[in-house]
Amino acid sequence: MIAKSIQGKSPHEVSDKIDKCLSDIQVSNGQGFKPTLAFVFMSIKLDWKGVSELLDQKGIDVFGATTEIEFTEEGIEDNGIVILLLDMNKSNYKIILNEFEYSNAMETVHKIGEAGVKTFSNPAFIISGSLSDWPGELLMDGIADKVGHEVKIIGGMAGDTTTFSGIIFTNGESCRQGILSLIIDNDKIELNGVAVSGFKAVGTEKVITKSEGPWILTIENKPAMDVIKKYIGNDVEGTRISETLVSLNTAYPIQLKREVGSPIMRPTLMYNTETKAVYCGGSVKEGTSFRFSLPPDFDVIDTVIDSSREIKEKEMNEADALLIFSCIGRYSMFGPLIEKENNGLAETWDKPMAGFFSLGEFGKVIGGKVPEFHGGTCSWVAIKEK
Amino acid sequence: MNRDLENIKVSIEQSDKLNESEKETIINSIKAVEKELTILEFKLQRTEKVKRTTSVLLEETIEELEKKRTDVEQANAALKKSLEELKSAQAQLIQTEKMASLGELTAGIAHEIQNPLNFVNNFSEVNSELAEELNDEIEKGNLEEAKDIARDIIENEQKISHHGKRAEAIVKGMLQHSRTSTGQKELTDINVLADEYLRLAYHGLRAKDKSFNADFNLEIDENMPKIKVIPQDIGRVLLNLINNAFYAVDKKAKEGMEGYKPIVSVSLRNKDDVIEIEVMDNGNGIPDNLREKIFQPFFTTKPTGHGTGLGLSLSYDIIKAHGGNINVVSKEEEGTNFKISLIKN
Repeated sequence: MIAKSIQGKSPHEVSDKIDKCLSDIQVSNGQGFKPTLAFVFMSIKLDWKGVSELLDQKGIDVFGATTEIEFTEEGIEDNGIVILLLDMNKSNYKIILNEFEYSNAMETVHKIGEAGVKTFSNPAFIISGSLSDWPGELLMDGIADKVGHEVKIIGGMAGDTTTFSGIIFTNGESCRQGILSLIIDNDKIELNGVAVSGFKAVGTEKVITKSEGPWILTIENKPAMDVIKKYIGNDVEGTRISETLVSLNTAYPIQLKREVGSPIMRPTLMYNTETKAVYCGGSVKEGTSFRFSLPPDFDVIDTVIDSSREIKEKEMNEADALLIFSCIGRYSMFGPLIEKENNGLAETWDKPMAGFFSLGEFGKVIGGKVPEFHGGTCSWVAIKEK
Repeated sequence: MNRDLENIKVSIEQSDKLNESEKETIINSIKAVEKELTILEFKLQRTEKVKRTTSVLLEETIEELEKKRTDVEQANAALKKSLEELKSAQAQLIQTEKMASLGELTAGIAHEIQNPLNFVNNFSEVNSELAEELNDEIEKGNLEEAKDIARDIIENEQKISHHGKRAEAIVKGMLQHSRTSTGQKELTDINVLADEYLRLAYHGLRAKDKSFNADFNLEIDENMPKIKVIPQDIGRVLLNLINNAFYAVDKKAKEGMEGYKPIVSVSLRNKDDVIEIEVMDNGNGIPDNLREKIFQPFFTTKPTGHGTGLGLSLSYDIIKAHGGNINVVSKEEEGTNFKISLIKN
């Protein structure tokens, strides 16, 4: 399978680049590169509809999401466009877009799993979503219910930190509240990847005494933001988003304790200055215990890159392309070093790569058997058509 | 770009002493240095931030842990106090149980004492009359008659002494029962102990409830050796089991079943390594679902105010403390059999 990554600052620029690469790349049959599938990650401020139509006109299936910051192996684009073109056999994949209904949440996610098993006997999923409440665990459970708990699910939530939501789109369809799934025939397409965090839990456990969806209202019966500021200090506050909302430094996610398995990360994204409630990247249940985190040491970047090298050595010697879904918190946390992480991953297989900084990631952790919904991780997947 | 690096870059660009290729190489190096400087600056800032956060977190966590330690210490103190109070309450309850069993003995003991006292009184009265007769015969000068009467008086005095000692022994036994156990084991004749408590229990119940009536029998083993036990404690166990047995047969008798004959049997056997004491009744038996609970403290099937629920629990503890075993076999509507085995010394 041939892959090509493109990036630019405008639809016009990428359109030219697409045309150029279609003509420049020669395959062994001498017929030129004929991509069938495009991963499109771009700013909501640009003409995502136009880009989708452009690709549609060329007969290319679109897996699209609006994002805040996106990148390829060439570097980071801020509010730009990145596209990863693949000439994957059309019989090996299917794209579906499901609008999410909170009143019927489980049914919605079950539909995705059902579509998977209906399409392929051994499906895997690359997903993106735009949901105001991010029931990430629900997505995992719903798909796993229908496909099996060791199903491969990799992806990242779309959107930006202004509204904490975005748009997901495919050919002729889009929505602001839904899930976009690329269902892949795992017998024909090999997928391998992990989600790596590196955050260290610190301090004693505290209990979330009141919450509503992703909002934490009180911690041990005290206003949530008061507790967070008490333990993390003023460095946690970011910039004002609106009259009552202030963003938070995502370098200090909380780690929710689970009965079984490693803790689940939840970045604290913003807080309400009136209620002092804190908004997290994902739902938070009342009664859950958590610990604060400190940002990973810089050497976690080596851990991320090493994870890809290990998979290359042990499981997947070659790949055709790479996708990366890295938490938006890592961008501010690692600053200029984040490119080292992205590029390091790309260099493992030295193949085209595209990705974006997401508002929540899907994937399994190192040593994990089942995919999970995370915050604060770098979740990557190498793709190879057999 | 860093100002100094920018200056170097500008100088290089403007220099006519270098060719384009050389300029490009140097400028690329400058850019790489700039990138490295940016990274180092970022790392330093991040480290400082994390250091500040860690410091705040640490201080708050220490304070929190201190507070938790104080809370734990206070909770410990409260728990200790509660434990002391519970122990005290337990001791009081045990004492109540002892007093209750002592109370149950009282009527039996009174009955038991009555018998020898009757002998004492009767023989004393007879001796009084005989003493007067003796005086008369001495005054009459009938020496032989006087000697016969004196012999009778002496005989009667021996009987008075014997029955007096019987009463003394009963009182001593009662006192021993009421005293807190010293924990000292003594060589004890279990046959005698069982006999004593069986009769005490029976007469005690008869005194309390005139309508109570039951047969009882005691089967002793002539070859029973004396064994080292705390007699008050074993006596308490026997009393409890026997009282329970009488209670059970009395309850069944009051149901009015035709042809029912309430009976409680106590049998003692000398085995190889142990001695066995069985207390059997032909009452209504213990339901299966209750059998596991009967040795639990405060468990009772008697109406409120009719039992502390500690009798069997204490009995169990006493037997276990003696290194023995206590078991129950029961069949509903047929009866119950408690078997104690005690190690011979």
